[in-house]
Amino acid sequence: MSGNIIRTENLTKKYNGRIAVDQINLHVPKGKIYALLGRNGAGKTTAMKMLLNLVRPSDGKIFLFDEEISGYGKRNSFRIGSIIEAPAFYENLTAGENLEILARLRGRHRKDTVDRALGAVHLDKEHKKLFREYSLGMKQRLGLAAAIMHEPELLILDEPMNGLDPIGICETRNYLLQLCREKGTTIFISSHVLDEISQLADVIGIINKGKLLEETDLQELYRRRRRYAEFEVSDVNKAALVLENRFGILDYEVTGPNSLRLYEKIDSRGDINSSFVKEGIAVAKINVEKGKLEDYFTGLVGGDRDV
Amino acid sequence: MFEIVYCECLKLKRSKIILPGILASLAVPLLAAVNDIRICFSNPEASLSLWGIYEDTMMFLMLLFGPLILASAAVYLVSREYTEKTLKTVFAVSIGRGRFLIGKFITLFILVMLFMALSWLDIVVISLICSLFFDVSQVTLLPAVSIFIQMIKGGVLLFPALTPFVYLALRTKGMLVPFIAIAVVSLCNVVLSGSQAAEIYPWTAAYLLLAGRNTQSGASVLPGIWLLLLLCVFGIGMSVWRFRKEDIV
Repeated sequence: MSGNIIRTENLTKKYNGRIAVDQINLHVPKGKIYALLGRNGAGKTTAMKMLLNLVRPSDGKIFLFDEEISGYGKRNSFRIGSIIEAPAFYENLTAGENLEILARLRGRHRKDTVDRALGAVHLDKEHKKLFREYSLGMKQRLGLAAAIMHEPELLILDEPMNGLDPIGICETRNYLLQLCREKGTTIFISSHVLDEISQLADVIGIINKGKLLEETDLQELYRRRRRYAEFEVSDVNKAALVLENRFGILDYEVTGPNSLRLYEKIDSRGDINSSFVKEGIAVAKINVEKGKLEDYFTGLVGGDRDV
Repeated sequence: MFEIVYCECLKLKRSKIILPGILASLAVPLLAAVNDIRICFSNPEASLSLWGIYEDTMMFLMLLFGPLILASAAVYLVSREYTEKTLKTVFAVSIGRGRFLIGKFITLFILVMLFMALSWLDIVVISLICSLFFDVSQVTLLPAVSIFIQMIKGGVLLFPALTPFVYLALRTKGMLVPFIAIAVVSLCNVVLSGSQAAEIYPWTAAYLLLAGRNTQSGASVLPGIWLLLLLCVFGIGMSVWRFRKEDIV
Protein backbone atom coordinates (compact mmCIF):
# COMPACT_ATOMS: atom_id res chain seq x y z
CA MET A 1 0.00 0.00 0.00
CA SER A 2 1.55 3.31 -1.11
CA GLY A 3 -0.57 5.37 1.29
CA ASN A 4 -2.34 7.09 -1.58
CA ILE A 5 -6.00 6.28 -2.11
CA ILE A 6 -5.93 7.99 -5.51
CA ARG A 7 -2.87 8.03 -7.72
CA THR A 8 -2.66 8.93 -11.37
CA GLU A 9 0.20 8.69 -13.83
CA ASN A 10 0.22 11.10 -16.75
CA LEU A 11 -3.56 11.14 -16.82
CA THR A 12 -4.71 12.91 -19.97
CA LYS A 13 -8.01 13.71 -21.60
CA LYS A 14 -8.46 15.21 -25.03
CA TYR A 15 -11.77 16.26 -26.55
CA ASN A 16 -11.52 16.50 -30.33
CA GLY A 17 -7.85 17.38 -30.12
CA ARG A 18 -8.33 19.95 -27.33
CA ILE A 19 -6.47 18.97 -24.17
CA ALA A 20 -8.72 19.20 -21.10
CA VAL A 21 -6.39 17.39 -18.69
CA ASP A 22 -2.70 17.23 -19.47
CA GLN A 23 -0.57 14.44 -17.99
CA ILE A 24 -1.47 15.03 -14.37
CA ASN A 25 0.06 12.99 -11.55
CA LEU A 26 -2.25 13.16 -8.55
CA HIS A 27 -1.39 11.74 -5.13
CA VAL A 28 -4.31 11.77 -2.70
CA PRO A 29 -3.15 10.46 0.68
CA LYS A 30 -5.34 8.20 2.76
CA GLY A 31 -7.40 9.88 5.48
CA LYS A 32 -6.67 13.41 4.28
CA ILE A 33 -8.65 16.15 2.59
CA TYR A 34 -7.09 16.90 -0.78
CA ALA A 35 -8.32 20.00 -2.57
CA LEU A 36 -7.93 20.41 -6.28
CA LEU A 37 -7.88 24.12 -6.85
CA GLY A 38 -8.16 25.83 -10.18
CA ARG A 39 -10.01 28.43 -12.16
CA ASN A 40 -13.22 27.62 -14.03
CA GLY A 41 -12.40 25.34 -16.95
CA ALA A 42 -9.01 24.34 -15.52
CA GLY A 43 -9.79 20.62 -15.84
CA LYS A 44 -10.93 19.78 -12.29
CA THR A 45 -14.27 18.23 -13.24
CA THR A 46 -12.82 16.26 -16.15
CA ALA A 47 -10.14 14.81 -13.88
CA MET A 48 -12.80 13.77 -11.37
CA LYS A 49 -15.01 12.29 -14.08
CA MET A 50 -12.14 10.11 -15.22
CA LEU A 51 -11.65 8.83 -11.68
CA LEU A 52 -15.36 8.04 -11.50
CA ASN A 53 -15.60 6.12 -14.73
CA LEU A 54 -17.75 8.73 -16.43
CA VAL A 55 -15.14 9.80 -18.95
CA ARG A 56 -12.59 7.57 -20.64
CA PRO A 57 -8.99 8.82 -20.27
CA SER A 58 -7.16 9.48 -23.53
CA ASP A 59 -3.91 8.39 -21.91
CA GLY A 60 -2.35 7.62 -18.55
CA LYS A 61 -3.14 5.40 -15.60
CA ILE A 62 -5.49 5.61 -12.63
CA PHE A 63 -4.87 3.78 -9.37
CA LEU A 64 -7.71 3.67 -6.84
CA PHE A 65 -7.05 1.93 -3.53
CA ASP A 66 -3.70 0.84 -5.03
CA GLU A 67 -5.42 -1.01 -7.84
CA GLU A 68 -4.98 0.03 -11.43
CA ILE A 69 -8.18 0.91 -13.22
CA SER A 70 -8.16 1.12 -16.97
CA GLY A 71 -10.69 2.65 -19.36
CA TYR A 72 -14.23 1.98 -18.24
CA GLY A 73 -13.15 -0.69 -15.77
CA LYS A 74 -15.46 -1.35 -12.87
CA ARG A 75 -14.84 0.74 -9.76
CA ASN A 76 -15.75 -0.41 -6.31
CA SER A 77 -18.88 1.65 -5.83
CA PHE A 78 -19.26 0.67 -2.18
CA ARG A 79 -16.01 2.45 -1.36
CA ILE A 80 -16.59 5.69 -3.28
CA GLY A 81 -19.17 8.46 -2.93
CA SER A 82 -19.32 11.43 -5.24
CA ILE A 83 -20.89 14.68 -6.35
CA ILE A 84 -20.04 15.87 -9.84
CA GLU A 85 -21.03 19.40 -10.83
CA ALA A 86 -24.59 20.33 -9.82
CA PRO A 87 -26.30 17.29 -8.26
CA ALA A 88 -28.73 15.74 -10.74
CA PHE A 89 -31.63 13.55 -9.67
CA TYR A 90 -34.98 12.51 -11.10
CA GLU A 91 -37.19 15.59 -10.99
CA ASN A 92 -40.48 13.73 -10.53
CA LEU A 93 -39.27 11.80 -7.48
CA THR A 94 -38.83 12.73 -3.84
CA ALA A 95 -35.45 12.88 -2.11
CA GLY A 96 -36.12 9.51 -0.46
CA GLU A 97 -37.10 7.86 -3.74
CA ASN A 98 -34.02 9.23 -5.49
CA LEU A 99 -31.74 7.87 -2.78
CA GLU A 100 -33.61 4.55 -2.85
CA ILE A 101 -32.80 4.21 -6.56
CA LEU A 102 -29.09 4.75 -5.93
CA ALA A 103 -29.09 2.34 -2.99
CA ARG A 104 -30.87 -0.34 -5.02
CA LEU A 105 -28.53 0.08 -7.99
CA ARG A 106 -25.63 -0.23 -5.60
CA GLY A 107 -27.26 -3.41 -4.29
CA ARG A 108 -27.48 -2.25 -0.68
CA HIS A 109 -30.92 -0.87 -0.04
CA ARG A 110 -32.05 -0.40 3.53
CA LYS A 111 -34.64 2.21 4.40
CA ASP A 112 -32.79 3.35 7.51
CA THR A 113 -29.65 4.21 5.49
CA VAL A 114 -31.73 6.55 3.30
CA ASP A 115 -33.33 8.17 6.36
CA ARG A 116 -29.98 8.50 8.11
CA ALA A 117 -28.37 10.13 5.06
CA LEU A 118 -31.23 12.61 4.75
CA GLY A 119 -30.96 13.36 8.48
CA ALA A 120 -27.23 13.99 8.20
CA VAL A 121 -27.82 16.82 5.73
CA HIS A 122 -30.97 18.10 7.50
CA LEU A 123 -33.33 17.08 4.71
CA ASP A 124 -35.29 14.58 6.79
CA LYS A 125 -38.21 16.99 7.16
CA GLU A 126 -38.27 17.66 3.41
CA HIS A 127 -38.01 14.08 2.25
CA LYS A 128 -41.49 14.04 0.69
CA LYS A 129 -40.88 17.11 -1.45
CA LEU A 130 -40.24 16.44 -5.13
CA PHE A 131 -36.69 17.10 -6.32
CA ARG A 132 -37.88 19.73 -8.81
CA GLU A 133 -39.30 21.75 -5.89
CA TYR A 134 -35.94 21.87 -4.11
CA SER A 135 -33.84 25.03 -3.90
CA LEU A 136 -30.27 24.95 -5.21
CA GLY A 137 -28.91 24.58 -1.70
CA MET A 138 -31.27 21.69 -0.91
CA LYS A 139 -30.25 19.96 -4.14
CA GLN A 140 -26.63 20.32 -3.13
CA ARG A 141 -27.36 18.82 0.28
CA LEU A 142 -29.21 15.92 -1.34
CA GLY A 143 -26.14 15.36 -3.51
CA LEU A 144 -24.06 15.15 -0.36
CA ALA A 145 -26.56 12.73 1.19
CA ALA A 146 -26.27 10.49 -1.89
CA ALA A 147 -22.49 10.62 -1.66
CA ILE A 148 -22.26 9.66 2.01
CA MET A 149 -25.26 7.31 2.19
CA HIS A 150 -23.21 4.11 1.98
CA GLU A 151 -20.41 5.37 4.25
CA PRO A 152 -17.68 5.29 1.62
CA GLU A 153 -13.95 5.34 2.30
CA LEU A 154 -13.39 7.91 -0.43
CA LEU A 155 -15.46 10.97 -1.27
CA ILE A 156 -14.96 12.71 -4.60
CA LEU A 157 -16.71 16.07 -4.41
CA ASP A 158 -16.78 18.55 -7.25
CA GLU A 159 -17.47 22.02 -5.85
CA PRO A 160 -19.89 20.74 -3.18
CA MET A 161 -20.41 24.16 -1.59
CA ASN A 162 -21.93 25.72 -4.74
CA GLY A 163 -25.35 27.16 -4.01
CA LEU A 164 -25.14 26.71 -0.25
CA ASP A 165 -25.90 29.62 2.06
CA PRO A 166 -23.21 30.68 4.58
CA ILE A 167 -24.66 28.47 7.32
CA GLY A 168 -24.91 25.57 4.88
CA ILE A 169 -21.27 26.07 3.87
CA CYS A 170 -20.19 26.09 7.50
CA GLU A 171 -22.26 22.95 8.30
CA THR A 172 -20.96 21.09 5.27
CA ARG A 173 -17.37 22.05 6.02
CA ASN A 174 -17.69 20.88 9.61
CA TYR A 175 -19.38 17.68 8.50
CA LEU A 176 -16.62 16.89 6.00
CA LEU A 177 -13.95 17.65 8.60
CA GLN A 178 -15.75 15.37 11.04
CA LEU A 179 -15.96 12.58 8.46
CA CYS A 180 -12.26 12.86 7.74
CA ARG A 181 -11.03 13.20 11.33
CA GLU A 182 -13.39 10.73 13.03
CA LYS A 183 -14.04 8.10 10.37
CA GLY A 184 -10.83 8.44 8.39
CA THR A 185 -12.69 9.16 5.15
CA THR A 186 -10.41 10.39 2.39
CA ILE A 187 -11.89 13.43 0.66
CA PHE A 188 -10.91 14.62 -2.80
CA ILE A 189 -12.61 17.96 -3.28
CA SER A 190 -12.43 20.56 -6.01
CA SER A 191 -13.08 24.25 -5.73
CA HIS A 192 -12.27 27.62 -7.18
CA VAL A 193 -12.94 29.39 -3.87
CA LEU A 194 -9.66 29.75 -2.05
CA ASP A 195 -11.07 30.79 1.31
CA GLU A 196 -13.29 27.71 1.43
CA ILE A 197 -10.38 25.39 0.72
CA SER A 198 -7.95 27.02 3.15
CA GLN A 199 -10.32 26.15 6.01
CA LEU A 200 -10.73 22.54 4.96
CA ALA A 201 -7.85 20.98 3.10
CA ASP A 202 -4.72 19.20 4.29
CA VAL A 203 -3.19 18.94 0.84
CA ILE A 204 -3.69 21.19 -2.16
CA GLY A 205 -3.21 20.51 -5.84
CA ILE A 206 -3.25 23.51 -8.15
CA ILE A 207 -4.45 22.88 -11.67
CA ASN A 208 -4.41 25.37 -14.51
CA LYS A 209 -5.20 24.83 -18.18
CA GLY A 210 -5.24 21.08 -17.62
CA LYS A 211 -1.81 20.91 -16.00
CA LEU A 212 -1.16 20.14 -12.35
CA LEU A 213 1.16 22.99 -11.36
CA GLU A 214 1.79 22.07 -7.78
CA GLU A 215 0.80 19.52 -5.18
CA THR A 216 1.67 20.49 -1.65
CA ASP A 217 0.76 20.43 2.01
CA LEU A 218 -1.36 23.42 3.05
CA GLN A 219 0.90 24.10 6.06
CA GLU A 220 3.89 24.17 3.72
CA LEU A 221 2.08 26.74 1.59
CA TYR A 222 1.49 28.90 4.63
CA ARG A 223 5.20 28.70 5.42
CA ARG A 224 6.09 29.72 1.88
CA ARG A 225 4.13 32.94 1.96
CA ARG A 226 6.41 35.92 1.59
CA ARG A 227 6.87 38.45 4.41
CA TYR A 228 6.50 42.08 3.48
CA ALA A 229 6.32 45.57 4.95
CA GLU A 230 3.46 47.68 3.70
CA PHE A 231 3.84 51.46 3.76
CA GLU A 232 0.96 53.88 3.46
CA VAL A 233 2.50 57.11 2.14
CA SER A 234 1.39 60.47 0.76
CA ASP A 235 3.34 60.10 -2.51
CA VAL A 236 4.14 56.59 -3.82
CA ASN A 237 6.20 57.81 -6.78
CA LYS A 238 8.53 59.81 -4.62
CA ALA A 239 8.69 56.95 -2.10
CA ALA A 240 9.63 54.51 -4.88
CA LEU A 241 12.49 56.78 -5.96
CA VAL A 242 13.79 56.90 -2.38
CA LEU A 243 13.65 53.09 -2.13
CA GLU A 244 15.54 52.58 -5.37
CA ASN A 245 18.10 55.38 -5.15
CA ARG A 246 18.90 55.47 -1.48
CA PHE A 247 18.38 51.85 -0.41
CA GLY A 248 18.88 50.00 -3.70
CA ILE A 249 15.56 48.17 -3.20
CA LEU A 250 14.04 46.78 -6.37
CA ASP A 251 11.77 44.04 -4.94
CA TYR A 252 8.77 46.16 -4.07
CA GLU A 253 5.25 46.53 -5.40
CA VAL A 254 2.92 49.51 -5.62
CA THR A 255 -0.39 48.07 -4.40
CA GLY A 256 -2.56 51.21 -4.36
CA PRO A 257 -2.57 54.96 -4.91
CA ASN A 258 -0.97 55.47 -1.49
CA SER A 259 0.51 52.11 -0.58
CA LEU A 260 3.50 50.00 -1.52
CA ARG A 261 4.85 46.67 -0.37
CA LEU A 262 8.46 46.04 0.36
CA TYR A 263 9.70 42.46 0.06
CA GLU A 264 13.39 43.02 0.91
CA LYS A 265 15.29 44.87 3.66
CA ILE A 266 12.15 44.72 5.80
CA ASP A 267 14.23 45.08 8.95
CA SER A 268 15.45 48.49 7.73
CA ARG A 269 11.91 49.85 7.74
CA GLY A 270 12.82 52.32 10.53
CA ASP A 271 15.59 53.91 8.41
CA ILE A 272 13.31 53.86 5.38
CA ASN A 273 10.62 55.65 7.36
CA SER A 274 13.10 58.34 8.48
CA SER A 275 14.23 58.87 4.89
CA PHE A 276 10.64 59.21 3.69
CA VAL A 277 9.96 61.86 6.35
CA LYS A 278 13.20 63.73 5.48
CA GLU A 279 12.07 63.81 1.83
CA GLY A 280 8.70 65.28 2.87
CA ILE A 281 6.73 62.07 2.37
CA ALA A 282 4.09 61.62 5.07
CA VAL A 283 3.90 58.03 6.36
CA ALA A 284 0.47 57.14 7.74
CA LYS A 285 1.05 53.44 8.48
CA ILE A 286 3.65 50.67 8.39
CA ASN A 287 2.54 47.03 8.64
CA VAL A 288 4.67 43.92 8.56
CA GLU A 289 2.64 40.97 7.30
CA LYS A 290 2.80 37.67 5.48
CA GLY A 291 1.40 37.33 2.00
CA LYS A 292 -2.09 35.92 1.55
CA LEU A 293 -2.62 32.52 -0.04
CA GLU A 294 -4.52 34.34 -2.73
CA ASP A 295 -1.36 36.18 -3.75
CA TYR A 296 0.53 32.92 -3.92
CA PHE A 297 -2.07 31.34 -6.21
CA THR A 298 -2.35 34.41 -8.37
CA GLY A 299 1.41 34.34 -8.84
CA LEU A 300 1.32 30.66 -9.71
CA VAL A 301 -1.74 30.55 -11.94
CA GLY A 302 -1.41 34.03 -13.40
CA GLY A 303 -4.20 36.39 -14.40
CA ASP A 304 -6.49 38.20 -12.03
CA ARG A 305 -7.11 37.40 -8.40
CA ASP A 306 -10.29 35.37 -9.01
CA VAL A 307 -8.78 31.92 -8.78
CA MET B 1 -31.24 -7.02 -13.19
CA PHE B 2 -34.44 -7.10 -11.11
CA GLU B 3 -33.24 -4.05 -9.14
CA ILE B 4 -32.45 -2.14 -12.36
CA VAL B 5 -35.91 -2.85 -13.78
CA TYR B 6 -37.51 -2.00 -10.42
CA CYS B 7 -35.64 1.32 -10.41
CA GLU B 8 -36.75 2.04 -13.98
CA CYS B 9 -40.36 1.48 -12.92
CA LEU B 10 -39.84 3.71 -9.87
CA LYS B 11 -38.47 6.45 -12.13
CA LEU B 12 -41.78 6.45 -14.01
CA LYS B 13 -43.71 7.33 -10.85
CA ARG B 14 -45.52 10.66 -11.40
CA SER B 15 -43.89 10.93 -14.84
CA LYS B 16 -45.70 12.67 -17.67
CA ILE B 17 -45.57 9.70 -20.02
CA ILE B 18 -47.87 7.46 -17.96
CA LEU B 19 -51.17 9.34 -18.28
CA PRO B 20 -51.01 9.82 -22.09
CA GLY B 21 -50.12 6.13 -22.40
CA ILE B 22 -53.10 5.02 -20.33
CA LEU B 23 -55.44 7.42 -22.13
CA ALA B 24 -54.23 6.23 -25.54
CA SER B 25 -54.65 2.57 -24.60
CA LEU B 26 -58.23 3.35 -23.50
CA ALA B 27 -59.07 5.72 -26.33
CA VAL B 28 -58.25 3.42 -29.24
CA PRO B 29 -60.79 0.65 -28.41
CA LEU B 30 -63.38 3.32 -27.65
CA LEU B 31 -62.84 4.99 -31.03
CA ALA B 32 -62.93 1.59 -32.78
CA ALA B 33 -66.22 0.73 -31.07
CA VAL B 34 -67.74 4.13 -31.94
CA ASN B 35 -66.68 3.59 -35.55
CA ASP B 36 -68.25 0.10 -35.61
CA ILE B 37 -71.50 1.42 -34.12
CA ARG B 38 -71.58 4.17 -36.73
CA ILE B 39 -71.15 1.56 -39.49
CA CYS B 40 -73.99 -0.49 -38.01
CA PHE B 41 -76.29 2.53 -38.09
CA SER B 42 -75.42 3.37 -41.68
CA ASN B 43 -75.46 -0.26 -42.86
CA PRO B 44 -78.25 -2.39 -41.32
CA GLU B 45 -76.57 -5.60 -42.56
CA ALA B 46 -73.41 -4.94 -40.55
CA SER B 47 -73.17 -6.35 -37.03
CA LEU B 48 -71.18 -5.61 -33.92
CA SER B 49 -68.83 -8.25 -32.53
CA LEU B 50 -66.08 -8.46 -29.95
CA TRP B 51 -63.69 -9.75 -32.61
CA GLY B 52 -64.62 -6.88 -34.95
CA ILE B 53 -63.85 -4.27 -32.30
CA TYR B 54 -60.56 -6.07 -31.59
CA GLU B 55 -59.52 -6.09 -35.28
CA ASP B 56 -60.21 -2.40 -35.73
CA THR B 57 -58.46 -1.60 -32.46
CA MET B 58 -55.37 -3.58 -33.41
CA MET B 59 -55.10 -1.91 -36.79
CA PHE B 60 -55.07 1.53 -35.18
CA LEU B 61 -52.85 0.37 -32.31
CA MET B 62 -50.21 -1.40 -34.40
CA LEU B 63 -50.05 1.11 -37.22
CA LEU B 64 -50.61 4.46 -35.55
CA PHE B 65 -51.13 4.77 -31.80
CA GLY B 66 -48.73 2.00 -30.75
CA PRO B 67 -45.68 3.40 -32.57
CA LEU B 68 -46.61 6.93 -31.51
CA ILE B 69 -47.17 6.31 -27.82
CA LEU B 70 -44.80 3.41 -27.17
CA ALA B 71 -41.92 4.81 -29.23
CA SER B 72 -42.38 8.07 -27.31
CA ALA B 73 -42.14 6.07 -24.08
CA ALA B 74 -38.98 4.37 -25.38
CA VAL B 75 -37.43 7.74 -26.21
CA TYR B 76 -38.50 9.19 -22.86
CA LEU B 77 -36.85 6.33 -20.93
CA VAL B 78 -33.47 7.22 -22.43
CA SER B 79 -33.66 10.92 -23.25
CA ARG B 80 -34.67 11.98 -19.76
CA GLU B 81 -31.36 10.65 -18.43
CA TYR B 82 -29.63 13.19 -20.68
CA THR B 83 -32.02 16.10 -20.24
CA GLU B 84 -32.09 15.69 -16.43
CA LYS B 85 -28.32 14.91 -16.45
CA THR B 86 -28.83 11.91 -14.18
CA LEU B 87 -26.36 9.57 -15.88
CA LYS B 88 -23.42 11.01 -13.92
CA THR B 89 -25.30 10.26 -10.70
CA VAL B 90 -26.28 6.75 -11.75
CA PHE B 91 -22.92 5.71 -13.18
CA ALA B 92 -21.05 6.94 -10.14
CA VAL B 93 -22.68 3.86 -8.59
CA SER B 94 -20.69 1.68 -11.01
CA ILE B 95 -23.40 -0.38 -12.60
CA GLY B 96 -22.51 -1.80 -15.99
CA ARG B 97 -23.65 0.40 -18.84
CA GLY B 98 -24.80 -2.58 -20.89
CA ARG B 99 -26.82 -3.91 -17.96
CA PHE B 100 -28.33 -0.49 -17.37
CA LEU B 101 -29.48 -0.26 -20.98
CA ILE B 102 -30.79 -3.82 -21.09
CA GLY B 103 -32.79 -2.90 -17.98
CA LYS B 104 -34.35 -0.07 -19.98
CA PHE B 105 -35.24 -2.44 -22.85
CA ILE B 106 -36.86 -4.86 -20.41
CA THR B 107 -38.82 -1.98 -18.89
CA LEU B 108 -39.91 -0.93 -22.37
CA PHE B 109 -41.05 -4.49 -23.08
CA ILE B 110 -43.07 -4.50 -19.84
CA LEU B 111 -44.64 -1.15 -20.81
CA VAL B 112 -45.62 -2.52 -24.23
CA MET B 113 -47.24 -5.54 -22.60
CA LEU B 114 -49.09 -3.40 -20.05
CA PHE B 115 -50.28 -1.15 -22.86
CA MET B 116 -51.62 -4.15 -24.75
CA ALA B 117 -53.21 -5.68 -21.64
CA LEU B 118 -54.93 -2.40 -20.79
CA SER B 119 -56.22 -2.06 -24.35
CA TRP B 120 -57.54 -5.65 -24.19
CA LEU B 121 -59.34 -4.91 -20.94
CA ASP B 122 -60.82 -1.82 -22.53
CA ILE B 123 -62.00 -3.80 -25.59
CA VAL B 124 -63.74 -6.32 -23.34
CA VAL B 125 -65.33 -3.68 -21.09
CA ILE B 126 -66.52 -1.56 -24.05
CA SER B 127 -67.95 -4.66 -25.75
CA LEU B 128 -69.80 -5.56 -22.55
CA ILE B 129 -71.22 -2.04 -22.26
CA CYS B 130 -72.19 -2.05 -25.95
CA SER B 131 -73.93 -5.40 -25.48
CA LEU B 132 -76.31 -3.70 -23.02
CA PHE B 133 -77.64 -1.49 -25.83
CA PHE B 134 -76.86 -3.38 -29.05
CA ASP B 135 -76.58 -6.92 -30.25
CA VAL B 136 -72.88 -7.69 -29.89
CA SER B 137 -71.74 -11.21 -30.76
CA GLN B 138 -68.82 -13.24 -29.28
CA VAL B 139 -68.85 -11.45 -25.92
CA THR B 140 -67.82 -14.64 -24.13
CA LEU B 141 -64.75 -15.89 -22.30
CA LEU B 142 -63.17 -17.92 -25.09
CA PRO B 143 -62.97 -15.15 -27.73
CA ALA B 144 -61.80 -12.76 -25.01
CA VAL B 145 -58.93 -15.09 -24.03
CA SER B 146 -58.07 -15.64 -27.68
CA ILE B 147 -57.99 -11.87 -28.26
CA PHE B 148 -55.77 -11.44 -25.18
CA ILE B 149 -53.24 -13.91 -26.64
CA GLN B 150 -53.34 -12.09 -29.97
CA MET B 151 -52.72 -8.76 -28.29
CA ILE B 152 -49.75 -10.13 -26.36
CA LYS B 153 -48.43 -11.43 -29.69
CA GLY B 154 -48.97 -7.95 -31.11
CA GLY B 155 -46.90 -6.50 -28.28
CA VAL B 156 -44.09 -8.98 -28.91
CA LEU B 157 -44.09 -8.07 -32.62
CA LEU B 158 -44.26 -4.34 -31.95
CA PHE B 159 -41.35 -4.28 -29.47
CA PRO B 160 -38.53 -4.90 -32.01
CA ALA B 161 -39.85 -2.06 -34.13
CA LEU B 162 -39.42 0.32 -31.17
CA THR B 163 -35.76 -0.47 -30.41
CA PRO B 164 -34.22 1.77 -33.13
CA PHE B 165 -35.84 4.78 -31.45
CA VAL B 166 -33.80 4.04 -28.32
CA TYR B 167 -30.64 4.14 -30.42
CA LEU B 168 -31.76 7.41 -31.99
CA ALA B 169 -32.40 8.89 -28.53
CA LEU B 170 -28.89 7.83 -27.44
CA ARG B 171 -27.32 9.35 -30.52
CA THR B 172 -29.12 12.67 -30.32
CA LYS B 173 -29.30 12.87 -26.48
CA GLY B 174 -32.62 14.64 -26.75
CA MET B 175 -36.26 14.14 -27.65
CA LEU B 176 -36.84 16.34 -30.67
CA VAL B 177 -35.16 14.27 -33.40
CA PRO B 178 -36.60 10.93 -32.20
CA PHE B 179 -40.09 12.47 -32.01
CA ILE B 180 -39.79 13.71 -35.59
CA ALA B 181 -38.66 10.21 -36.62
CA ILE B 182 -41.64 8.67 -34.79
CA ALA B 183 -44.04 11.00 -36.62
CA VAL B 184 -42.45 10.13 -39.98
CA VAL B 185 -42.56 6.37 -39.28
CA SER B 186 -46.22 6.55 -38.18
CA LEU B 187 -47.14 8.54 -41.29
CA CYS B 188 -45.37 6.00 -43.51
CA ASN B 189 -47.30 3.25 -41.70
CA VAL B 190 -50.59 4.82 -42.73
CA VAL B 191 -49.44 5.45 -46.31
CA LEU B 192 -47.86 2.00 -46.83
CA SER B 193 -50.34 -0.19 -44.95
CA GLY B 194 -52.40 -1.02 -48.06
CA SER B 195 -49.45 -1.45 -50.44
CA GLN B 196 -47.15 -4.38 -51.20
CA ALA B 197 -44.22 -2.47 -49.69
CA ALA B 198 -45.85 -2.94 -46.28
CA GLU B 199 -44.34 -6.44 -46.06
CA ILE B 200 -40.80 -5.09 -46.17
CA TYR B 201 -41.43 -2.01 -44.03
CA PRO B 202 -40.75 -3.24 -40.48
CA TRP B 203 -43.33 -1.09 -38.69
CA THR B 204 -46.18 -2.34 -40.91
CA ALA B 205 -44.70 -5.85 -41.13
CA ALA B 206 -45.44 -6.33 -37.42
CA TYR B 207 -49.14 -5.65 -38.02
CA LEU B 208 -49.28 -7.80 -41.18
CA LEU B 209 -47.76 -10.73 -39.28
CA LEU B 210 -50.27 -10.35 -36.46
CA ALA B 211 -53.25 -9.99 -38.77
CA GLY B 212 -52.06 -12.95 -40.86
CA ARG B 213 -52.12 -10.91 -44.05
CA ASN B 214 -48.93 -12.57 -45.31
CA THR B 215 -50.46 -16.04 -45.14
CA GLN B 216 -53.72 -14.83 -46.66
CA SER B 217 -51.84 -13.63 -49.74
CA GLY B 218 -49.87 -16.89 -49.87
CA ALA B 219 -46.59 -15.24 -48.89
CA SER B 220 -44.24 -16.61 -46.25
CA VAL B 221 -44.14 -15.10 -42.78
CA LEU B 222 -40.36 -15.65 -42.55
CA PRO B 223 -39.21 -12.42 -44.30
CA GLY B 224 -41.33 -10.37 -41.91
CA ILE B 225 -40.01 -12.24 -38.87
CA TRP B 226 -36.41 -11.91 -40.07
CA LEU B 227 -36.93 -8.23 -40.72
CA LEU B 228 -38.15 -7.63 -37.18
CA LEU B 229 -35.38 -9.78 -35.70
CA LEU B 230 -32.73 -7.85 -37.60
CA LEU B 231 -34.27 -4.57 -36.51
CA CYS B 232 -34.26 -5.75 -32.89
CA VAL B 233 -30.61 -6.85 -33.08
CA PHE B 234 -29.71 -3.53 -34.69
CA GLY B 235 -31.70 -1.46 -32.18
CA ILE B 236 -30.42 -3.19 -29.05
CA GLY B 237 -26.91 -3.99 -30.32
CA MET B 238 -26.12 -0.52 -31.63
CA SER B 239 -27.61 1.12 -28.53
CA VAL B 240 -25.44 -0.95 -26.16
CA TRP B 241 -22.33 -0.45 -28.32
CA ARG B 242 -22.88 3.29 -28.52
CA PHE B 243 -23.72 3.68 -24.84
CA ARG B 244 -20.69 1.74 -23.64
CA LYS B 245 -18.20 3.88 -25.50
CA GLU B 246 -19.56 7.34 -24.81
CA ASP B 247 -18.30 9.85 -22.26
CA ILE B 248 -20.79 11.20 -19.77
CA VAL B 249 -20.07 14.91 -20.10
